[in-house]
Amino acid sequence: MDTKRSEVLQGTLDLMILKTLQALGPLHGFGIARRIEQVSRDVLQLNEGTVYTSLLRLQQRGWIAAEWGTSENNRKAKFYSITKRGQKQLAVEAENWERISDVIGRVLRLEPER
Amino acid sequence: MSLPGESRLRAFMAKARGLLHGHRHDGEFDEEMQEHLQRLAERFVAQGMPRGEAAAAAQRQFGNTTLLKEGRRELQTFLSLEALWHDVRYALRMLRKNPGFASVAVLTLALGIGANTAIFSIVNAVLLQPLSYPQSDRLVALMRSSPAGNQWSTSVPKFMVYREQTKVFESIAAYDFAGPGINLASGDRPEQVKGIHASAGYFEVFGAPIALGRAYTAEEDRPGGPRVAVISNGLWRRRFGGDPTIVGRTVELSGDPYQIIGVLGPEFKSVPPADIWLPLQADPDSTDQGHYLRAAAQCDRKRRSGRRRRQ
Repeated sequence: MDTKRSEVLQGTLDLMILKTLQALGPLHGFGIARRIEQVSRDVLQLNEGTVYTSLLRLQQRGWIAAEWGTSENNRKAKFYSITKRGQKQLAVEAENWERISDVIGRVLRLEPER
Repeated sequence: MSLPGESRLRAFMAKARGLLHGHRHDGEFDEEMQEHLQRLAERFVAQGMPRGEAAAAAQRQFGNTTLLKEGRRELQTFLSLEALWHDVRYALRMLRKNPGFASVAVLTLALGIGANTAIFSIVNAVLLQPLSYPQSDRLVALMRSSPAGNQWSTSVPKFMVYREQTKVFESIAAYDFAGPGINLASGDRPEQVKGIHASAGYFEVFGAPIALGRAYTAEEDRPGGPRVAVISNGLWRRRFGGDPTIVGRTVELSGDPYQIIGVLGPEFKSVPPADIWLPLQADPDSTDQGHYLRAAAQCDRKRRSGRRRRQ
């Protein structure tokens, strides 16, 4: 595998899935994996099965809901959608993420003092 | 992701549900997983990969399914007592942090449990438990029913009619409501006790156990009959020290001498409560229209009190 691909950071998959569902509406697990693959432009190395672990976790916290439906190729599939509570949580998490990545970015840009 | 308390609670509840429902959703997840793998493989084939390789490639991209299932199980169950203990401690901490919420929750529970306990004790006593009288399934209270309404009270002339002219009862008794009390003077101090004037059938109707002596007879329950009294077990112990030679002793009740002829067993409880029973000594020819009595009866053995009786 390409050594330039990085592992998904712990916890960020949940955030990515929440954002994906908010942006695209109800999706099944395969669709979510495709979307993340597409957006990450092959930068991220993702074991797609972990998407389902994340989905279960989000479901347990009440941030997403699941419902059986029919997929675009006419097969039975479980569709996940973001809940109101999930929207709120996404806003909080997104702001958190911006703050942290901003701080880390600044730390990494520090020049050695002479 | 950081977790607000509410969501921790939800995850806890989800685990609790998992505990109850077992792994009902495992099958669903298998289905979801197989579908995903198949679509990945189809995609590889569409990109020109040989069918045999595609399945393996799909599996690689998907990851280890056994590990995944284990991860799910971990999310759905309390893996160990330790984890459960963590969750419980967390719950307690949150309750302490939100005293308002905690007190409302505790209050709600307390009121709910309290109300249910109160309701149950009433329902239990009124509906479920049999009356605390022997043969209570044959015990009936007599009620007069008329267009003007139902009345539980009865008069001496009416009682005489019930007693002399009906055949459905094995025994029947009339008694008053214990009244304002009787002054009991005996020994060193006077005392006011509740006394019921009851006809001779009373003890039989209510199955009152006689611990000492005897109950009064129909002979004694006549106008001008002897002044005799039956006392409760409680009064006997409290007032007379449980004296086994009490029978035959004379005490003063509201100024008149009465002879104690019997003591009831400790298990007997009357309604209304009383400590002394005196013969009603009602005149069979009375025309007194005062409805100051109640009537109760034991049905004869063949007629149970299951259905309503009309007279």
